[in-house]
Amino acid sequence: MSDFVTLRTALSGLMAARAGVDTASHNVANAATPGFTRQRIEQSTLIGGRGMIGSGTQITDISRTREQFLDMRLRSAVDLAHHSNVRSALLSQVEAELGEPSNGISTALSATWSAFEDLSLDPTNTAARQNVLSGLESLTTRIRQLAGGWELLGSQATTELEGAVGQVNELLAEVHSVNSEIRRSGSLTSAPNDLLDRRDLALDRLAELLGATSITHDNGTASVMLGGVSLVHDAGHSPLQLGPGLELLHPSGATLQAGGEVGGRQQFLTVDFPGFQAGLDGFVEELTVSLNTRHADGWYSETDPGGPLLSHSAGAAGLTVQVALADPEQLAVASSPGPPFPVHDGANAEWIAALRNDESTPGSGASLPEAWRAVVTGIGVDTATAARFAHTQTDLAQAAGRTRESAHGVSIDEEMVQLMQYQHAYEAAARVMTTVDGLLDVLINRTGLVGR
Amino acid sequence: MRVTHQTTTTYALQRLQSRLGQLQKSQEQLASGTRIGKPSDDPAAMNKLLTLRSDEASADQAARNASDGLQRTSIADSHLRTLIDRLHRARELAIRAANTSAPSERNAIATEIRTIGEEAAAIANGNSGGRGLFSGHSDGPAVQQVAGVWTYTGDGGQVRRRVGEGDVVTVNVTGDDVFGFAAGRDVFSVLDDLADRIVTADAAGVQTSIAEVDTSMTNILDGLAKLGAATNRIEAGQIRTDDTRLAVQSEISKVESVDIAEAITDLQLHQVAFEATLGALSRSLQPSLTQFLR
Repeated sequence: MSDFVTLRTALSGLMAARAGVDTASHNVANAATPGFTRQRIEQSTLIGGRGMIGSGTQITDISRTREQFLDMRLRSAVDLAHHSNVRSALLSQVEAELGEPSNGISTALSATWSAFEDLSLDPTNTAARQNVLSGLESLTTRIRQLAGGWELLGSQATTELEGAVGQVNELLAEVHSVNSEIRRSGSLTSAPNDLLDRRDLALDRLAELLGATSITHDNGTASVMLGGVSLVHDAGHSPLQLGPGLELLHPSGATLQAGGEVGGRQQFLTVDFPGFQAGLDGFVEELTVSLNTRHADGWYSETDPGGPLLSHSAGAAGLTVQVALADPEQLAVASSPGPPFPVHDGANAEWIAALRNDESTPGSGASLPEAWRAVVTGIGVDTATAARFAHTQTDLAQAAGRTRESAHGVSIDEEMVQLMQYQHAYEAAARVMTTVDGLLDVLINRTGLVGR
Repeated sequence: MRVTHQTTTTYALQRLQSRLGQLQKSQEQLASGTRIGKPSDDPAAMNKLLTLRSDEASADQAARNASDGLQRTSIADSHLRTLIDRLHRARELAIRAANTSAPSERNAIATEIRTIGEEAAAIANGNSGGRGLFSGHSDGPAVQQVAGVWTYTGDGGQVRRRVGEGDVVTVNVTGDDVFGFAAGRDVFSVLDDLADRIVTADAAGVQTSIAEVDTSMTNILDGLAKLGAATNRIEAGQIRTDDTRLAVQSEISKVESVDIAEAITDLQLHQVAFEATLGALSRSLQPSLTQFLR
């Protein structure tokens, strides 16, 4: 056996140790890189030695310590976590606009009844009349503010939904382009780890945004699916868009059921939010009808019954409600026209103020404050439930994230140990070379000197 | 489980976040003094709180109604009492006139009775804050002479006050009833006729008039009794309203107020936990093998 073979064996050890040091330093350098998976060199003995003596080592692969199962678990957890968190955040914004219990419609409503009842005590008091009008004014202003705030919130959420869909499309394109690069770079044995990391990061983000699932194929490429519909496949990717009803449309025309952030915003915008707006509008319509009806029961002169107190345009009651009466003298405070006109009769103001406790319209089953309380409590329950659900889902997603990070992440200590290990391996391989060198020295320089 | 520096850091940050959240929540509760800052804090309690606040506003209003009603009844009451006094005086004078024959004295008595009549009309037209006390809902005087005949010019309007939940009290009496217009013989005409009869020394007529003055007084006393009953009901209502307000306020405080002792304990507990988390974080993130390798 040639001494040079041993030199080669030592060289293979040197090279493997170098690769080990390089890989460890790559891991350390990327210790804080999001989505980075630690890498390991896979070594095996070099086949091709003669007889019992081997001929060194070889690096078969630089592998990513990635576990598909952990990826899948995390992605299904972040899907729900992002869905519920986005929805919960939007709901709490809706709730904040309410201003209950101190600065909300309830307070303004209560002040209105008191203003009417104060007027009933002293119907000729101009200040009391003015007070009723300004009470109605601040009630309607508060309602319009709330409706306007909600409207703005809704349009912002829609813009953000469009932004999220745009992001989804960018990510789909990125996954597709990484797929192509992976295919170009060749076989699985030399899979480009850092490209795979980048793709996995995009897949994570897609799970957060859309709840999309993915399958990794043997050749290293990935396809993305949502509810069984393919979004990224070998041939290309399918950009998504929003329909008129904010539904998510596939280029094939199919409507997709999105999860994640997009799904959370969709659920808020198409289910929760219209319900709240309908609640507010319904309340405003009830308020307008019952106030106007009771006001019309009264008289402000011998010939004139009360005109409408509030008005709103159809379809957008909350946004457009306003006080229809400008002249405080036209408040119909008396319950009969006379004659002679009962100037000091406050019975109709009392009758209006009784809306505080009476059913708003006969048979409606609830007074106006009760109707409003039901709206507020409904929003409160929805928000509280969503927040609790979001809290649980976030915990689960964080736990899944920690589990995955603990499998994939870089441990500095571990890398230090690896570095030391490869450093020693390198030193030892160098020592082997010195030894072979010594052997050759004996052979070349000191052999055959007998008799010289 | 394999532990990496990244997992330690993220986990510590998540713990720190949740600790800080708890700390902020108890701080918020202490600063605002309320347990329920928004509906989702406790939707059921929020519903109750809004109901209670509405009840409180209603009770406040009932208290205002009651004091307004009380003011009206007491002013009307004092007016009617004065009128009764004057009628007693008129009755005394009438009896004296019946027993005297001197025309000058009768004339003097008749003059005083006419003055009492004018006084009675002024009392009947008395008002409080620009509103006639005995004229119902009408704006004009309660009584006046129309073409020489005393006439009730108010209306039958009943002034009602809600002094408690479902407790509405009528707080006025109308001149129609108390001054005898409804019974067909009003006190002002009685006094005028009495003066005339004294001047003309119509002894039988004076006796009739004395009986009529008595009837008038009975009418007024009926009115006083009604006002007294109304006053009693208002006062009872006030007591009930006060009780209701107290009960509602204590219920509100039960529902929304923070138990200060508990909140401060919570705050300190969370503060200690937060600081402990910070301390643990600083210790667990510091060491790494790199510090021990040379």
